[in-house]
Amino acid sequence: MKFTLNWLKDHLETAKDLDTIVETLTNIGLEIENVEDKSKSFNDFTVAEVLKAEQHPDADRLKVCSVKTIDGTFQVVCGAPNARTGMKGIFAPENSFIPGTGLKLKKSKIRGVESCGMLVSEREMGLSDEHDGIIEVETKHKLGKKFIEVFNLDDPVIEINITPNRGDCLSVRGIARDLAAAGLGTLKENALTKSIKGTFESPIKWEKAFSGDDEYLCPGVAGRYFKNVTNKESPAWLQQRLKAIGLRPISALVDITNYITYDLGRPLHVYDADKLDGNLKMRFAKKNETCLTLDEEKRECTSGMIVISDNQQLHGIGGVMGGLDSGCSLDTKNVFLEVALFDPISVTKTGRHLKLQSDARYRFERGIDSTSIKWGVDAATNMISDLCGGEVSKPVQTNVLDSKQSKIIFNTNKVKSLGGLEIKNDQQKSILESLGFNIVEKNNIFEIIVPSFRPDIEGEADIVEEIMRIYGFDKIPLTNVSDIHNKKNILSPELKSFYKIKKVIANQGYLEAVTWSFMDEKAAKLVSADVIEIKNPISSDLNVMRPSNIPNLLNAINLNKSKVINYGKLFEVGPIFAASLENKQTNVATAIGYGNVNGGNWNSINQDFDVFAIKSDLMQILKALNVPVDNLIYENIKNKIFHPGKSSSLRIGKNILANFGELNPILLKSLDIGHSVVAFEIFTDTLAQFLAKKISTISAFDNNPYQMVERDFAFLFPKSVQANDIINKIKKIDKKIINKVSIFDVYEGEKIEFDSKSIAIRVLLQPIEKTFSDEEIENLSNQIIDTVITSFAASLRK
Amino acid sequence: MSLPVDAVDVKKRIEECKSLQDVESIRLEYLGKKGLIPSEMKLLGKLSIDERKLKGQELNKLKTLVEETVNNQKTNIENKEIEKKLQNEKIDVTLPQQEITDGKIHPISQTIFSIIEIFGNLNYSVEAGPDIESDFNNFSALNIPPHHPAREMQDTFYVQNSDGEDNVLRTHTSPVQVRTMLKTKPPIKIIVPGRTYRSDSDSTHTPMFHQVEGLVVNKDANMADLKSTLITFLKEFFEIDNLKYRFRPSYFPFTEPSAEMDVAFTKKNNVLKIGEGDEWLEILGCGMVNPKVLENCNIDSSVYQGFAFGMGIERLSMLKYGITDMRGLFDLNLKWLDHYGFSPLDLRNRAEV
Repeated sequence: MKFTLNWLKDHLETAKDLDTIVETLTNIGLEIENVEDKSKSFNDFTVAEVLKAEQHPDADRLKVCSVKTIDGTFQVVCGAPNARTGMKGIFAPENSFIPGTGLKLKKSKIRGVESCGMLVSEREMGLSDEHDGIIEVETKHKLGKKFIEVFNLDDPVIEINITPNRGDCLSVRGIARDLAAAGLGTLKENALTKSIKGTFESPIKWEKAFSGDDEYLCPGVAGRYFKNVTNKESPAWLQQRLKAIGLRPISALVDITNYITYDLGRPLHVYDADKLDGNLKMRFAKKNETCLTLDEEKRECTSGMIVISDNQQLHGIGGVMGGLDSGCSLDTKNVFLEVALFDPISVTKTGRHLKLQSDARYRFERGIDSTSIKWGVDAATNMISDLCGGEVSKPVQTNVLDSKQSKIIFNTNKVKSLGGLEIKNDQQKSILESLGFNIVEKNNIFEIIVPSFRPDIEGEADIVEEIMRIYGFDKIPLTNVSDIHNKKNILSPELKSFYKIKKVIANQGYLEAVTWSFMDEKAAKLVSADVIEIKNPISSDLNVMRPSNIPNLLNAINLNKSKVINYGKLFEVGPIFAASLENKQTNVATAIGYGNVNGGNWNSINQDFDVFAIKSDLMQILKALNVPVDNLIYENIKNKIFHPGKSSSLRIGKNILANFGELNPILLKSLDIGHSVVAFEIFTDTLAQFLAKKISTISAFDNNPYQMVERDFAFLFPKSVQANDIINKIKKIDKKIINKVSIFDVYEGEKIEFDSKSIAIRVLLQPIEKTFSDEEIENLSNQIIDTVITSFAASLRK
Repeated sequence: MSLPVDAVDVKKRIEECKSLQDVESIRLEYLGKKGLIPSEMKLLGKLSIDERKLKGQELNKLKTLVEETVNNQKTNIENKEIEKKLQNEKIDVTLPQQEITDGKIHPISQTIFSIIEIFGNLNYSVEAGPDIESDFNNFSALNIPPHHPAREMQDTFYVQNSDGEDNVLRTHTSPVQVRTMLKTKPPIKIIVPGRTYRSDSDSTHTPMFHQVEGLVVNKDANMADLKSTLITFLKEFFEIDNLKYRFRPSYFPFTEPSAEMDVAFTKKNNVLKIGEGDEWLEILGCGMVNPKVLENCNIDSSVYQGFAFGMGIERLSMLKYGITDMRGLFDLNLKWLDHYGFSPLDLRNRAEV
């Protein structure tokens, strides 16, 4: 909502300066978007006279002018073809800031001739794009007169954000009312709403075809007929105001409707009465009806829309835009006026369907004064009569649905209990009254009648806000909000694992990324069949919810290659989505690793990040989150993300905790990645069970004094045997004594049979009650050998 | 009665030895089975008690001296040999070490950690909810009527739903407030950080972003508590004690009264400085929970009241960490992630060591 300071002063009697008004507006909830005060930025530019304009000695197109200004006569080199002796223009002195170029003007030599200051073009003043010549002003303007006065730009333009509840402040008058309530002055009488009686019966009448349940859609419409008017250009003051707020003046009749829309928040329409056939009627559009609107678009109407029609055709879409065919032009002699009320939701639906925004729609959507049907006619009549003359008919109107007066019973203690602020009853009352509320006071109870222009006020909380915003939110006192009692858990185990895992994974050398929850359907379908589509995606390559986060992270690889980063460890913790999941999503910590992570240091193993490197990281991470990693059960992965032979799921109980391994080369190929990538996924919700434990349950340290013994074995196994099964089998022999089983060598190759592999195992034995005897060690060794041989069809290597 | 050797001479002889063999031969000379000291010891029996006592002490003294001197001299000779060897063991220690890649926490996560810590200290607990939400939780329960502009396709993402009803990608984290109120009896005191979605994409808007919301419902929480809570948070978050701020009226369908908070800033050489200056930056929206919202969530609004607030985590991150390009936050540029990321050990804690 834009308006000018002088326009505001039409409604507000005030002695306050611009800064105070601007600050107050924001403080009472009418937030300032912008203030354009040209009186400051354009102060330096004044009317000057060209005493002499002569050819530049060294340049055909330049002139050397002697320019008389209020501060003396200066020599100015000028390239404008219209610069000539005797003309008056606008002079910009040295060191002034030129708005159109954004530059500070400096003294200079142009082709050897000194130039002090400048005669400016319209473009340089930010007035228009005109730059073919310098600005010429009528010679009647006195030397030294300010540029902004000559061009009537000295009225500051204020732009405020109106929140959707404040339809009443989409008018200069509404804003003035709020400022008056805030103590900045008094609200003047509205001169436009004095009643004018008509002299004849209107030859055109208003009709409406709504009744019963539909009547609220168009509660009423009024108007009148203007005979023998003269439409012409609007007077300068009106044109300037419209221009200042960014509207284009068209003709007096059209400008009046725009002016009243902004001045009083009352949208109007004027029809060229000679182009109408019969009465005008508000009715529902029929199927396939079209209306050519003022913006010269042919609008296809649908059956729920309210339209305005005569006997022949449509002349407008109710509350949104008038029709082109009956629009007023400079030839218009007779005018018929529309002042209507429409249901906000109906206008919204219509406008939305037609994708048509207008100042009228904007106001109807936010709710307008239900009594404006009466004073709106008066306001239009006053202005049309003033500016266009002619004769005025008696008003006409349909029956108008009574709008219910809204009443609120308000307890004045509510300001304290809800607002946390003490305001005395009489002050509460005076604030509300200055905002147009009527109050009957009974002790601490106000019986409040809400003004017709405030349909947003519905209950006590709204009244508290009205009182407080005018009184000042800055006066709300500060309280002590520390809350050291009522200690409770801040994070549930699920959230603790969700957040803690980020720190744990980063601690293993991974960079955290945040990527979209969306992805490309094609890539998504490669990893899952259960994909949730977005009906209205932001772009065609972000059209489904991600069923895995691996493809998004893989995008990093080629992206960073161009920056010559050929290795990386990257992770994200966030949701993945599938229709089959509870709440359609689950949280996953996903990481990828690729390339030579050590970056090819002279002293490091020159090897790419592989399955066992990421497995090592994964196990460290799980351990840090209290997962008993020795109890993990390996299981084949049931998806297409991972390489079927180089990956595994890890399970405890029923829950899959994690997946890890090399990614499926088919997936990588589809993303143009030509090398191997390893990854893990941890389902963070499944870790909650391990984080729920209290730290204080650590068992006592067992300082066993007896000598430990290490024994090595090498077996030949069939290739299908899995190392983890061997380790678990050996551990099971005696969980107390067998302290650790590790594998220190694996060999497959020419020296042994093609379908077998050699695995060397180291077992650490811990005596419990006394040091082992040789015999005991021998027995244990034999037991290990027997178990392995019989369980896995293995043979001992000699 | 005296010993046949001078202790000082013996010590000197041992200390002059150049090799371990030389030291050993002197040791044998004195301490060996047939050495001087054992031989003399054997003769002690022939002496009178007084003489035996005296001579015995002297011999023991000499024995200790020889033992110690021999051990010292052996160590000396060994160390000299090691030192000589070390001279030939020089390596180029200026060769570059192996670089371990640093892991980093994303600035959005770091901001969320800060927020959780600050509100955790005020006894808020953290809640979460799904990104795909029902129309009721995201809009209707929050008093956003069916014709509200926010529901238009150009603002809200809709997803398919097998049971025919439209689901939305939550446009704010407020539906978690609704879920919490529906399942919990007051008092409620929660914050909700999380992913949110709006169909918007330009230099300052991304289709996905993060919000944190707070909700307090009890019998007496009021606007003064709300204002104080937010100021406490902002001062702590930005680590500015005399933060210049503005608390001004605004409008949201789900709160009444509603307010927004701005913080002052200055911009010099393209660097934002928060907390002082004459320009204002909107940082959060808030208000007293609209009684209609309480009723929609089965909470008796004649008994309970409360406040709610919400803010954008990207904006907080950018302001606090000086990030100028919002889209960088969602980029996979490893250099960016490394540059703006935080060490997992870098906790935002005033008691940090």
